[in-house]
Amino acid sequence: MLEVRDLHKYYGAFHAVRGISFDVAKGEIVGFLGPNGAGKTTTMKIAVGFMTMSSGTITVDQRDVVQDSMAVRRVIGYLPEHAPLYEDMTVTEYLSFIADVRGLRGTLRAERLQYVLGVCALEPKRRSGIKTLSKGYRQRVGLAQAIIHDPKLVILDEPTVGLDPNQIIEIRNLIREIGERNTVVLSSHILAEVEATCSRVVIINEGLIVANGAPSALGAALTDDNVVQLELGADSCDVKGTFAEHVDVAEVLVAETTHRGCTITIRVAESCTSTKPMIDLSAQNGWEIHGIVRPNATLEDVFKSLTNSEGEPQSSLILANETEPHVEGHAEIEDADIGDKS
Amino acid sequence: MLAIWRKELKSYFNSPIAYIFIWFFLVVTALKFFFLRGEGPQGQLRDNFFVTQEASLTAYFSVFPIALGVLVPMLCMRMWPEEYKSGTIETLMTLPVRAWQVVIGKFSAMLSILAITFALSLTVPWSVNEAAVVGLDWGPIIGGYVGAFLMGSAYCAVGLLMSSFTREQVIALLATFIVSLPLALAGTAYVESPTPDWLSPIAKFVGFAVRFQSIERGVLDLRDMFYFLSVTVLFVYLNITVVEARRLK
Ligand SMILES: Nc1ncnc2c1ncn2[C@@H]1O[C@H](COP(=O)(O)OP(=O)(O)O)[C@@H](O)[C@H]1O
Ligand SMILES: [Mg+2]
Repeated sequence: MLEVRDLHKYYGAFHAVRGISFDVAKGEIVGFLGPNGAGKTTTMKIAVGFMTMSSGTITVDQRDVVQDSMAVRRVIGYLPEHAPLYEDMTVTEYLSFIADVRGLRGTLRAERLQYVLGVCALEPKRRSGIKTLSKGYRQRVGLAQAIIHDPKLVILDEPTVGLDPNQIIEIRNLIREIGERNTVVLSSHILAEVEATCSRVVIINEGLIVANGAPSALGAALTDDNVVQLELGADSCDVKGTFAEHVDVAEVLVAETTHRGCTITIRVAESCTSTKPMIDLSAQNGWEIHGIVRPNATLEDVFKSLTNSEGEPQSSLILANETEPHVEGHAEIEDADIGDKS
Repeated sequence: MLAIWRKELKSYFNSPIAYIFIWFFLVVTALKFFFLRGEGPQGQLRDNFFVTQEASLTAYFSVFPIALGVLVPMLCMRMWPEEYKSGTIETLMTLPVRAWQVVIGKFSAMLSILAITFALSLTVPWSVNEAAVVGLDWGPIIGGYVGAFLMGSAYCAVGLLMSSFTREQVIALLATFIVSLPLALAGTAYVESPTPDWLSPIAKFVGFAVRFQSIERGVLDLRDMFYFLSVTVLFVYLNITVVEARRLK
């Protein structure tokens, strides 16, 4: 549906997008994640044909966004950052304007207007002036505008930025609903955002793609299987000392006191394949075991470890098959590692 | 394109701008015509209508170049700056319409305001016709309105272009003044002394008031019409180019 190939964008001398390639297959909801200034907005503006690239190509539905701009614009719905709207119009006036420019006529126009007002829960505000709307409603008007022509590809730039938690949940649900009919690409600098809504995430930092895959798969790829976390009914100092001396323990990562005793996170030696020695050790010392897990890396960790830019070349984690988007190379890896291994 | 025209027209009437423009234009031109003793563009003195009782609208039309030159920038200042500042330009330019369609849509909304204004101003020739001893000769009046419309559209085109360079309405307004006032006055008696000799033929060529004067006298010189049309086309074309260039930058 969307193919980005070796995309570069210079703003004057500033190299904002430095050669990114990724695909979005039909039906996916892809999160385009990166810190502020990573180049998300730039990439999206180029994809929708608002700006031109310095080099590289983007195709939408097999059509080049530069050569075939009009055809591409017809199949794309775009919500720019901050949902710019015409303040002096009412909701219905605005959506009607978009419908008119998009060439919707007659009963189809009326149906689509009714549909987006319903889906975006704008019915109660249809006659309100846009300048009187809250940020949450404005964002919904922006979304309504983006889907009014039932586009094949919906591109949303930071759709939940500036919303309060309830509004965020509403917008997320709305995006999921849109995602059932249309292919969606949304950008965000918030991990929870893409984890909540997206089947796949493309992480970009300083104009380069640093990761691409299902949120859970990215987590799994970064998960250190040798890390074990135990919750014990004992004093953290005793525990720490005892574990540090054990042959199967490579390193004690964290030891904290909790209300039930302590939590200790250790990395076991490569040779150690089970958690049994840890359990035995606790039993020998008479420490009650409240819990034992092998923690999974979260997208948070992925993000941190990949976007920690000190100007050094970054490692990158590409799990999705870039050239053949239809291959399920980014299938979810189940959280099989969670739980008690004893 | 029709949708854009409709949107722009609606937003004119949603804001005070259209009303202010129409009101000012009608009041200023009518006041000048009926009550003030004025000077023609060539420096000749003109008495107001109640003194002369002359069944001619020459004195009425003679205010048009300046009145439009001052008031049309008001119509233009919002056009592009608002789109750029609020970011709606992004939505607009990613809809399946071409830049020229957007520009023509906006431009035709401005022309519509002009047309409405001129239609309302017909009350002046109508009342002159009622009051004057001899009836009006409508030929020059029709000519005058055609000329005024062409001149007005040239001002609109200039202002629309100027507004496309900035995100600030005030700057757009000033920029339009800076270009359209010299255009209005060039070659007239008002600015005869500061105009150097070598510039004077050029000033007479480009000056809107000088051009309009001959139309207003009822001499429908095709060259004058063609001049206003060319200015319109040129500036609208430049506007399309600028909008495209700003977008792709
Ligand atoms: N019009 C512009 N001119 C110059 N630099 C720009 C422009 N737009 C964005 N940038 C720069 O390009 C980089 C990427 O910006 P952007 O794509 O907006 O990032 P993101 O959306 O990921 O926060 C930033 O460093 C930003 O400062
Ligand atoms: Mg951005």
